[in-house]
Amino acid sequence: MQHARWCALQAFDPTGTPESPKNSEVLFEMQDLSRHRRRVSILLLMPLILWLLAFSLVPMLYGAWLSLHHARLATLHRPSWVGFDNYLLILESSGFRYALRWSLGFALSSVAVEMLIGVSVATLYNRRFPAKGLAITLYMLPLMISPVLMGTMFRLLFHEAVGPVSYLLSGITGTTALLGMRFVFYTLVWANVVNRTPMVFLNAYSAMQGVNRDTLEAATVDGCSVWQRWRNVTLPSIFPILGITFAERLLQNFVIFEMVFALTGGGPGTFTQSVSIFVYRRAFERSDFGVANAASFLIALMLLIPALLLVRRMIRGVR
Amino acid sequence: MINMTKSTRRRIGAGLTALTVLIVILVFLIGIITNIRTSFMTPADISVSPPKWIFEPTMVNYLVAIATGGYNFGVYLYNSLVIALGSVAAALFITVPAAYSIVRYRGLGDFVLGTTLLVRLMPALSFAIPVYVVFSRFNLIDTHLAIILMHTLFISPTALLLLVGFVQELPKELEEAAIVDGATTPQLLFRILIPTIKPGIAAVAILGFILSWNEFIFAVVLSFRRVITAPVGTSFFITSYAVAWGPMAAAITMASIPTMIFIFVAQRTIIQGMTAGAVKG
Amino acid sequence: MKRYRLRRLLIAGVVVMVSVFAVAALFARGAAEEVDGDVTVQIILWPGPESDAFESVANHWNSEIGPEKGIYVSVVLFGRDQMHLRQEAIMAAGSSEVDVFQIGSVRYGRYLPFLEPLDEYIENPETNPWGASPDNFMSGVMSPYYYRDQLMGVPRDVSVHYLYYRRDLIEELLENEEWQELYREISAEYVGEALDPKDPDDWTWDDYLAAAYFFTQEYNPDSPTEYGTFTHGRVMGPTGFLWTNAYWGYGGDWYDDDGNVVFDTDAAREALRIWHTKFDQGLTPPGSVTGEYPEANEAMLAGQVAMGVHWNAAYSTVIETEDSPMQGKFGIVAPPAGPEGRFSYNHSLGYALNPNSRHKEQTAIFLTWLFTDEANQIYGEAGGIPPVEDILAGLTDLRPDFDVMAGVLGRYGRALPPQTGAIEVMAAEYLSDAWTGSVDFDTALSGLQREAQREIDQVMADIEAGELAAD
Repeated sequence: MQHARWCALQAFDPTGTPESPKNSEVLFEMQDLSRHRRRVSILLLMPLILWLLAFSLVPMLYGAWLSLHHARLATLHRPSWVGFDNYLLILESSGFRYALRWSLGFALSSVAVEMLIGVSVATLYNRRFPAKGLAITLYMLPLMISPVLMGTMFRLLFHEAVGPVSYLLSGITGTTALLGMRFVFYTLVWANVVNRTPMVFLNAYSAMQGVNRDTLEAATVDGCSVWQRWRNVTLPSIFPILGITFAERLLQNFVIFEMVFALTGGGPGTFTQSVSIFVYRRAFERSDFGVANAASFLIALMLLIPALLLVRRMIRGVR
Repeated sequence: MINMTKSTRRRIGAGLTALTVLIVILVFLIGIITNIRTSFMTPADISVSPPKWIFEPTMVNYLVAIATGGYNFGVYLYNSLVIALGSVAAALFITVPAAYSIVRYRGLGDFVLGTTLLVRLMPALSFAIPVYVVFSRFNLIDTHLAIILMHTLFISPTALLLLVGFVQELPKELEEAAIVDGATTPQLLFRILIPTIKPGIAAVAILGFILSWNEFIFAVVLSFRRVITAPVGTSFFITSYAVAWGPMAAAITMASIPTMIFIFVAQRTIIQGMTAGAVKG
Repeated sequence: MKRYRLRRLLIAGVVVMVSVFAVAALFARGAAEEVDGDVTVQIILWPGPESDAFESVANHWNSEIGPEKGIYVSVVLFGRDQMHLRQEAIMAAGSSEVDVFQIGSVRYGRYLPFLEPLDEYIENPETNPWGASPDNFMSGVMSPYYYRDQLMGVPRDVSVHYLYYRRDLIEELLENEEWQELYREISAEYVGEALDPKDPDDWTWDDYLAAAYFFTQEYNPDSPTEYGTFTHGRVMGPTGFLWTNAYWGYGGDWYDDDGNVVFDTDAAREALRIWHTKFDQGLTPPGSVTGEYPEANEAMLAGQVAMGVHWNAAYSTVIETEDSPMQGKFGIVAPPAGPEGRFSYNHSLGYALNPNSRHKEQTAIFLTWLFTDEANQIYGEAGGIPPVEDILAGLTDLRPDFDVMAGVLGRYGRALPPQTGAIEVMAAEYLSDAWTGSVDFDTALSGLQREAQREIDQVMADIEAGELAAD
């Protein structure tokens, strides 16, 4: 009982370095250079701001402007104002709602599996064993291959008749038709998880490496079990990073394009159509840049609020 | 006696861990392993059902990828390397000071962070045509710089998020002490911030490198013939009708070797950096 | 002190960035300019047998004709899936990066405002010193390239659909009486009437279905192949084109005489029924719902399927190659017939002139040369498929299927008009939703009808707008 309580107590102070918020606030305020401070802060931000303005804001504004126009390839230079018609067109399309649902389902399934596997593997790696450097490198290997290319190769590797992967997996799935209607969703999730879990692993593993050794050792000396140590020392201190990773992976899986497009093309029909593929098909394949930008903004707006909330929480959490 | 038992037990534990790791790696690399296998096969061997596991390896796919007609894989690799390194350097240059500013000074920082995040959320495709139109006005199409500029933008959100996390872990006392000692802001950045968040920088470098190395859409739209990157060059094996499986597998394998070496070296830096940080911490 | 240093550092950084930007921009501009009097014509192509063959044509030009004219040809490759995005970006920016676009006969409709008609160059002896004429080309292939009597491009590689069938298996079927009996039983049970095995050249779509059932192990455990047929199912234009053979066969077409889209028809339902049966009854590998050309080849080479309606390119580049495990085993004929006739879809890739090209005349000299027999002979010998009957006929030694091809094209060939590219993927998306059973036929067809009509109207409006701007 007492052990458990002690172990739980550790969770409150994972870094082991007590903070003194009062002192630091006073010190920073003591500088009494608020104007100077603001200037420094802006100067430090300047390169990023310039970059954002030039390569993000300008295209984005141009995109926002286009989204309110009838702007197809032929009329790109002379677009005519249509107000919010493009947005309404997207919102009224049943295909868009289906794509949203699909993307949400895909993102949630993928991120759940990714987090579970990523953190488990990081925990597994978070100890001494021979050839660890090589093992880390090998585990991260799938990250090094562009999803477009890997997705295309998967078309062969998952092929029903000649695909080695589907042949090896047929013992589990009972069929080699991994790209048929029945398995195509799971195949996509699997392909995505294999390709992108190393991201989660990397974040979780580096966070675990940063966990205070003394605390861990103290917990060991006091006889906390492996699970207790993990639950009460490791987890709380890697939690912020895991939160960020989770949000990041969720959002990126939500707008997934390359892997799905290469592997299934959103098909059969619209069966695996993610929002990005929807936009691509509705807009880029039809050279309709007004609708394309409207759809992109809709997606961005939908994701913006949860993302900003999360980021704000993350900043506040540590301050 | 007790010591011996302990070390033996530890050794067994390490062995078991290594074995589990090996299994995990094998499962995760199944696609890559079979891809490498395909790269050594002739078309006739590829198109056999059930798939062959024992076959006579051939180098012909590698030769096709390196030196056939329009393909010039060496140049594609070089372009990818230049672009990836350039993008990482530029991304660090813009995000390290920004991360510091975001963590230590409120106000504009949070707004910038939010805006940067928005960039990541915009489907990259929607930028493609506007960016192309703007860049072609500046005659930047088919230059390394054009792709570096855009890749830097894509690396920045990830970099910023990571760096903000790392800077937050930096105890304020260090800086306070430095400020009391009369350190200037650049000194703070270079003498205290950067050395302390080295592991973060290394992580950003790796992630940024990977992101840039694999980025596809902008590498396609902004390149023409001189700055074709490895992934774009590899996509040339998706031909009008068929996919040239063998050469494509070979090209993928070759393109992943430099990154593999890079990561093998760089991940050691991370681990060392982190261990060092933990000892002092 | 503090402030100055920081500011200086950052200002220096910004200055460096900007100057690198500017220098690179200048450098790029300098590099883009021509060095001497010679002109290089840039042609964008996607990699494949067409560009390989074209490389030979370009090499011939560059060594034999180019030096004399001071015009050289250079091919820029771009992957199939990115090609159109890339090309549209060039068009949208009004860029002169390439002089010649590669545009398929079904696709160039929506790019019309960005293409330069070739008639003037053909008529002008300075840009057509060869006296070449488009009339040498097969008229069926040529006709989509005229828009309002203006010649919009040079057709190059012709593609056509065949019915591929395992010769050994069909021969056995036509001889073995036990097989024939079983064939009748299976067709009576699943197709609705007892059909006699026939030569594939005499097949209707029902015969095709009966044979597909017969060669599927689920219905005939003794079938030597696991599945009867491979059906392309991936959402992309060509998938819909393959289905169009059946649509035409049942009396339908994508457009009526006024150019309006027509999909919500009984013919479409009949053709969909054939396709749906294949997927629903498992006559085609389940994975073929997301497969297309490469997957079909693998299935055929691996002996997984007995037949399939498939592109002509596979015959000489995949099936009839030296190391192919299926060499000599596949026969080819035109796709099966429907009650309203027998059709084989065909289209061609074409080359079109970029109106923003900085050396249009020199480019036109090369483009008009492509109409000459000299150019087409080289192209055909190098593995391309030039749309000239005599040259095709003369190449049957090199390409065994050219014989069949000429017959199929001549008797059953049918093409779709150039605006089709705007709705081809849309069609494939709706149709494949219908034939996989995700959506019922009526919903899919009416949805496709509505959306395709709107898109075609838009494309026509775009063309008008483009023409107005050009005037």
